[in-house]
Amino acid sequence: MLTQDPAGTSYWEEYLNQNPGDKANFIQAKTQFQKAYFKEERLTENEKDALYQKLIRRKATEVKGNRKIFRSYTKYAIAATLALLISIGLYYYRYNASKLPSEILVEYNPIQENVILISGDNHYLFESNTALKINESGIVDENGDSLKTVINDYNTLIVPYGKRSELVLSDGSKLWVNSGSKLKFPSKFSDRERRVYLEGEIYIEVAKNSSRPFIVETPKVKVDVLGTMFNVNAYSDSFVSEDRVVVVEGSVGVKTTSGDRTKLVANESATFTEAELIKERVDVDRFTSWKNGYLLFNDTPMEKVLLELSRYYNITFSEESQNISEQTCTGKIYLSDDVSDVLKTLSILIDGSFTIKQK
Amino acid sequence: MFSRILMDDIEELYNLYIDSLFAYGIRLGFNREQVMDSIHNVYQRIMLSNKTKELRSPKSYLFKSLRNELYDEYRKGIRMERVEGNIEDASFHLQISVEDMLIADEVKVEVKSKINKIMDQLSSRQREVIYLRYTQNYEYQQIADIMGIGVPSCRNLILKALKVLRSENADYFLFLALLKNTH
Repeated sequence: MLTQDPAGTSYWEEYLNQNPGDKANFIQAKTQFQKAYFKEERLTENEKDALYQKLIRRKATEVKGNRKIFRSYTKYAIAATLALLISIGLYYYRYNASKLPSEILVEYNPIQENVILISGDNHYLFESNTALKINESGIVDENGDSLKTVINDYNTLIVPYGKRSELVLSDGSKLWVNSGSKLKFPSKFSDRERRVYLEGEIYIEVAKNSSRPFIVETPKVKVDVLGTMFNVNAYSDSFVSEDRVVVVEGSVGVKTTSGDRTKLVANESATFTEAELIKERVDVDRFTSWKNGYLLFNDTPMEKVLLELSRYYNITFSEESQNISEQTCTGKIYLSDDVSDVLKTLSILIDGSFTIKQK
Repeated sequence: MFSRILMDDIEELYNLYIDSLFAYGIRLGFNREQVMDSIHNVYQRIMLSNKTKELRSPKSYLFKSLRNELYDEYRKGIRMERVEGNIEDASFHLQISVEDMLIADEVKVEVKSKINKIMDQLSSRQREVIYLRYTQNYEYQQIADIMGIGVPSCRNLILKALKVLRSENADYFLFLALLKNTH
């Protein structure tokens, strides 16, 4: 008999010796009890990783002096002041005033991940939105400190949900990397071309150089340019199913993996789905405002607003959000580091409330 | 900067014990965020003191540190909010689960409620001591250390808990005798 408690074993052996008739009952009870266990609360793999990263982050930050490790209290103090800002920026029109107030549940992973830069075997973690720059000696951080980088290979910059980062490449091209994105870029471009690989969203101002074309490659599309400003949206997640390229200035050539090609000029956008490529004229600010830290809406259905917030913060809204999906929103929503700021504002503006539930 | 060796040790300690530490913190009645914060602080302190090698029994050391950390935070919280509360009121939770396709739902419910009834008859500290002894396999010495009590009172606590279980109904004792592991 499997047991943890010798006294228990002998007790039962003795009992069964004296009462052999109970043996069948005993065996049945035993199998039933054996299936019972104490349920354990568990961390998800992501939470475990994030907690570990937070722990070892000290390694990266200690160099810069005694930065405080994460403490939630100060964060909340900042949150309160920010919320006020947002509510001024957002105008909202109510269509269905008759509807009952809805309570919307928001699923959210409370652990804020770091921006990560991987260069060869070196990993660097950044707590907040960061700005990196490449010069002759390699990658330099915000404070001007050089980071150990591999010269002849690609580096990877991973920007988690809820964060953004800026990057100046070795040719002087300037990049904004949006939340939930992964970008691969070399410390030094080859002589023939300048190529970066993207999953997610970037806004880029390409430095002019007609002899070395600049190429942004995503799993679905290749964007070819000489010198221009444009936005590429190529998330592989489930929030938005289509990739989009928006040109702000200049022109680009676009080629999808399925073979479709087109040329785009300023104020034009191309979206791709599995089946087709759609070209249209657009208000570019609407697609590029994120790089300045806010989302811009113009009579946008709430459904879309919530979708974009879902993507940015990796949150999901419960079904009740459909009650407000037809309402529209015009104005700016500031992308605070703390999602609860944004939700607080929204809840003031809609007939409803948001409850944050940890994922 | 921390040395490579220390970081390897920390990573190993982390991977080995994070699950049981987290579960223990939750059982002590704290929420996920509080437990995560405290786990962070516990490991941080080990890193700063650079003592991974000197830990003879890292698991019980971690359990003990987490328990102290959580209760410290709890006391601090009480002071700040001026709420009256007693640390001994904090309860130790053991949620029961029965998962097996072959066992009928009614039987599952019955087994569950039987076990829950047993557990209700124990005090919070008795539940904790039973959990540490019979699912985490700690020795008396280690349990005493974790809970900050003497070995004799630890032994007493367990004996009392067992007595309660034995006196109520034979079924209960069967459960304890079989109690092997947590999932």
